[in-house]
Amino acid sequence: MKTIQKFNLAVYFIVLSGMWMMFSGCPRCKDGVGENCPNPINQEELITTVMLSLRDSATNEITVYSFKDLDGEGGNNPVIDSIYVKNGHKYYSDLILLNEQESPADTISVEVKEEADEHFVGYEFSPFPVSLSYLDKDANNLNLGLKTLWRIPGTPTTGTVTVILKHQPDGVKNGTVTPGDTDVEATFPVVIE
Amino acid sequence: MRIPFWFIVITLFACGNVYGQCAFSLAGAVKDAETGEGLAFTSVWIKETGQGAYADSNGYFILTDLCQGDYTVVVAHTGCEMRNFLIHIPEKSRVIFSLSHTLENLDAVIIRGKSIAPRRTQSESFLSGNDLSKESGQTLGKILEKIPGIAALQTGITISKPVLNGLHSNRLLILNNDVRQEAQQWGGEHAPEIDPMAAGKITVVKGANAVRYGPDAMAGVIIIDPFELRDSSGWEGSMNVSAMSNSRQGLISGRIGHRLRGKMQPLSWQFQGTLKQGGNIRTPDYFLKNTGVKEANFGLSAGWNKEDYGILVYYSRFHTNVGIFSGSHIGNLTDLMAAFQGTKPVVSSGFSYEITSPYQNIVHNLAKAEAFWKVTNAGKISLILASQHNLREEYDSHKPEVPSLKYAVNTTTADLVFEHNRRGNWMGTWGLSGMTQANRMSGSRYFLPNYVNLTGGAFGIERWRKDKWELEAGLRYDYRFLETYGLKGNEIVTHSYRFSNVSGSLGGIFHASDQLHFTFNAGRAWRSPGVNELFSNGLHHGAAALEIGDSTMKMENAWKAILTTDFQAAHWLIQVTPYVHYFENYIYLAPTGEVALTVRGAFPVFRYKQTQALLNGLDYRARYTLNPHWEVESSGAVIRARNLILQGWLFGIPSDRFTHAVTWKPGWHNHHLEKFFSNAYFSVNFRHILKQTRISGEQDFAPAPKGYGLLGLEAGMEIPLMKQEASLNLACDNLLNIRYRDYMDRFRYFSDAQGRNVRLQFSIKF
Repeated sequence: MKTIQKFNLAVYFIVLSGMWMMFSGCPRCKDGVGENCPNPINQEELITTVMLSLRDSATNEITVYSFKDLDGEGGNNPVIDSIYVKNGHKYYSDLILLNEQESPADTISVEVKEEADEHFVGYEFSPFPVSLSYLDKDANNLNLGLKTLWRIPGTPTTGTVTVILKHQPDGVKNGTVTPGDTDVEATFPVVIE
Repeated sequence: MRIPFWFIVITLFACGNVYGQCAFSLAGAVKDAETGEGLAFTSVWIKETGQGAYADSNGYFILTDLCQGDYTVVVAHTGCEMRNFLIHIPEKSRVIFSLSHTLENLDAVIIRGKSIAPRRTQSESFLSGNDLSKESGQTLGKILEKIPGIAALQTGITISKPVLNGLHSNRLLILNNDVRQEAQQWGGEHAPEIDPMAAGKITVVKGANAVRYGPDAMAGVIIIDPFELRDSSGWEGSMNVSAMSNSRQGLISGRIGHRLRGKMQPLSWQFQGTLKQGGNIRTPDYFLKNTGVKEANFGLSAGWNKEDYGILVYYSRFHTNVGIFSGSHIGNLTDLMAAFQGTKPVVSSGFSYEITSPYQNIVHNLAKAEAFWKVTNAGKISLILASQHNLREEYDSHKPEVPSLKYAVNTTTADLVFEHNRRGNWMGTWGLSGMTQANRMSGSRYFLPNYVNLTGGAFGIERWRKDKWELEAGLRYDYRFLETYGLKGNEIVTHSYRFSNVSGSLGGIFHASDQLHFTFNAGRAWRSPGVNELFSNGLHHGAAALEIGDSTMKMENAWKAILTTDFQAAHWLIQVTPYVHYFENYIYLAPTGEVALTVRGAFPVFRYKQTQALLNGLDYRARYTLNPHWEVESSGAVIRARNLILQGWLFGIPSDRFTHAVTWKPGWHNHHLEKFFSNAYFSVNFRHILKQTRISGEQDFAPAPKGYGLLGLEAGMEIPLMKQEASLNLACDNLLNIRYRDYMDRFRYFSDAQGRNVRLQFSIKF
């Protein structure tokens, strides 16, 4: 009698565990069907493309240069255009930021403009100096930097320009590139002809 | 003649102050269970120390001035057989034994409530009673730092996870309430989702313990036991209130328990709840913006307990909101270097309780049903079925309305354990365990694939005991099936893995004398690679590095040998624990020297790799009791961790650390003072953390911070308040308010660590 009870109890416990595990089990994802299948990630914050549209003030000719990393961070390296500018000329620059993983592409620079008081775009030219004027401001009268005017120096040379978009929330924005965290840091080669 | 039954109630009031003082007392009663009458003038003494007392005419007795440790309590009454009980002080605040005493069967000691488990052959340390309650308000990781060999891996002061002998996360198992804590434990900034206020006792077991608790217990196990259900009819409760000056944190925690009477006597229940809120942390010079924390936790349990069977249901919920220091939110390596080079963070702040993005929102639910049955002449069979649901949401400062990372993991576990009765010199435990797990992630960033995971295992442990020797051997087999569902573009990529392996353990205890014990264990454990180690591919939140997993990773195997020498004599307590831990296929994040160019700038690339590793170390604790008033204590831990293939050092290993303390107990000569402020103590401690100089290659973004020393004060006493047991503790950390940064703190790149902090804690039991 005792033995039967013992045996019953053990069996009962094992069956109970088995049922417990089965009921709460985790369905596999098969052929894209199942509750554990991954949902496509909507990377709302992703910037894949940095575009500079430069208008030569003398000729009104517009050229667009881009820095594209379509697969995001990691994976393939970005494809970068070289910027060609004429010495002594002035250029009106428009910065356009896109998420081209979306279709149609999402224009992130529109959001940057909407949250102008939390963003700042800096341009760092190296090794030559470019005199830069900001043509747009936020509600606090601090520079934004989506629209700028570049005065190219008078000697032909080569170098780089780095476009830096900073997210500067919580009132840290002070009109410089220093505070905040970096959303974009894209370096273009520059040829001054 | 009726067989006389004895019922001995031993209540242990653990009222220690500084970890391991000789201020404990053991109080209780010796009663006849049949008549309920106290047995007058029973003699009760401790074999090891010779301390003893006679019970009064009602059977009550008290033993005072006991040190922490394992003791044999001898109870003798005229006309009855002398009985021995093994007691650990201050392991439990209440222990109840019921003794079936017959002339024919002298060895039949049935332990009611929870038995005092045989000492493990791995090295064990405990925290319970006042040692725990006086730390209220601190995180679990911080509290565990009291135990030599444990360091805290921190993301600021509010997120900390324990590092045992240099290992953490997937290599250190946390057993909460007899259930494996399953969450996103792979992450260095993912702290254990456990309310330390719900813990009645915390045990740290050093040494590979995979046989009993399953793979992953490579470094050891941290066992968190809740307060036990009441074992006699009536009500009980406690209230704990604490405040901290630095973050202006307040905490209130309460517990109420009840056991019914009469026919319903086997039924008992308990409720425990904690509320906690803290604001911005202050370094010596500035506040850290957005470093507040808000927590609300509760647990509810009910049990039906009879002598030979019992069932228990338990539910707990842990909910926390933790702010992440705004200044640590970086976009790329340039930001990180700028933050590191600045003397203070760019983001400035005053004090505030407000938590804004970035922050973590974490909910952990645990539901459990447990049953045990004592089968006569066989043993005890017990079953634990548990389900855990863990939700982790990490909000970025961009788009704070939706979480950028969101993980939901559901885990179901079943454990069936059979402990057979002692047969001759043998006792043992056999068991089966199973686990199913599904992890789903969503959010606006992709970091890990979804996965399902099935694990099953079987184990057996046998222990042989004779005279001065206890020897133990155990074997376990586990099988794990893992299937991951990742995304490549919009296509689902499935990977399946099957891992299986054997864990083993051999250990023993040699009681050289009543004062000197040697505990040794050699164990083998393994773990399957974590999903982050297989598949992470992207920027790690907050770290300016691209982390790339390796889907061909092999399982990690480890062998750990540990020896503890435990010496306790009149004035001395010395514990020395050296260990050797060898790893095959040790998984680590290796710098590659490659740089990945992205729209956000250039990032160094780190890849998960495997190597052979060797960790050697030593933990110690030594205490000298000069006289009843003065005591000196020192503890420390030293680790050397080598990458054997690269002939270099492993990254992220705690540096050498030592704590020294001097304690003074006034021992009032004035009777009134003694009555109102009993067990008062004052203690000065100095915590010395050396610089981590054992670093190889380009593993880090910034050099290791300098070593530092922190001075601390502690004082406490007991107050008889309305005839209840109440205690008041006051502590001050970083008394001199020095500026420092800790190597094991991820915020060391961005800010100094916490400045002076005064903690006040009051608790009352009724």
